[in-house]
Amino acid sequence: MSRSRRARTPVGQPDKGRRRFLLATPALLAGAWLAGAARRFGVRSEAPPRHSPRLLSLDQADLYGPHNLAG
Amino acid sequence: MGEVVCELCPKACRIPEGGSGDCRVRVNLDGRLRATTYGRPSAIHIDPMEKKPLFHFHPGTPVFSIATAGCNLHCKNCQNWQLSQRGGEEMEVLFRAYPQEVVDRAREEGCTSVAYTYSDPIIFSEYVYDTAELAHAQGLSNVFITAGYINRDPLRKLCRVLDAFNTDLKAFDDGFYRDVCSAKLKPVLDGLVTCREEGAWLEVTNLVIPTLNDDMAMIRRMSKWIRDELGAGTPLHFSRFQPMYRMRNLPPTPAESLTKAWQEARDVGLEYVYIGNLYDRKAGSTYCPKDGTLLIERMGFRVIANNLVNGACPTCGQTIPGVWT
Repeated sequence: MSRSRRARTPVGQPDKGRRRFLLATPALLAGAWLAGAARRFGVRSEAPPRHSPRLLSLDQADLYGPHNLAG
Repeated sequence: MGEVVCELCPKACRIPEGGSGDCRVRVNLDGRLRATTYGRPSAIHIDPMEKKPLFHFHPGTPVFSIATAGCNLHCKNCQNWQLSQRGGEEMEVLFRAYPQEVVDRAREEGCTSVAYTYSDPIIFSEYVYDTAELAHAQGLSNVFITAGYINRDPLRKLCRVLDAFNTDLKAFDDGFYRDVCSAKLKPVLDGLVTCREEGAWLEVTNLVIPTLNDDMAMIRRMSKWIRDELGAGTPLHFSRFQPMYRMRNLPPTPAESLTKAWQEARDVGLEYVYIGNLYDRKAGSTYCPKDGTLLIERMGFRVIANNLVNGACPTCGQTIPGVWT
């Protein structure tokens, strides 16, 4: 059975996993804060649509079909 | 080329070159304000007039209903958010339907009215105006289903070609308008008074949302305002809330709340008060305010019986306000 990553770190060397964690945490927190701020100021997070709307003629409208629009 | 200011609604968006207003569909292209959804509706259906709801305007008739994407309000409870909270380019489907095509198709289908509805037609008002003008010329009526967040001058212009309004009065509280709808109360009240002054037929809808606007003291104040400013004969519809969009944390409105609101409005002196989005045969029908005769019996959106005689009660002859023929 192989040894754990921590166990493989030579004595006296910094723990790479711990260092990555310490570096990533502030970046993740900053990213979350920025996303929250963007949402607060109305920046939409959805990706832009990957399609163009289909342009149909009026004859293709389903005038009597069921729909759930109010009003 | 600089920014343009949209003067259509009280938001008065300052739109930079290439940008859009808060409604997403009115844009600044080359320094000119353009309505991108002109002639490009995304919803077209034929509905009964009662669905709008308009209960005192050509009852039981089919109405050719159109809407484009976009809205100048962003209500957290919007039932039509997939249409209203998107720009035209985000829709799956756009129909090519210029005003004359809309009017021709409405007539072919036997509709007597065109409704501008579903999203808020304020944001496509140029398209509404041109279509409504043609519709009038060919004998069709025009109805406008709106939250009423519009400036006075464009509203007055629209009133020239519109015959009936159903305006949402979402609450009688400015805080509600700010927190839930991103709007203000006063322009809506001003718009209702303008509609009345301009002589278009007017009905009012209030969606009752548990804990947010179901305070009976507020409903009483709202009903008094309607009585005093718009008249006791103005129909008021209390509508049931269903959890939607960004307001799924609240339950549907209990039937008792709607019944209490209905009673409050009647106690204040409003003569035509209705309950919608909930089956209630009594509160969905029209009665003579003088002698209680059943005038129009409805089941949901269907008119079961219309007993009016020339727009009046068949028993006592009381004239019932509305547009009946």
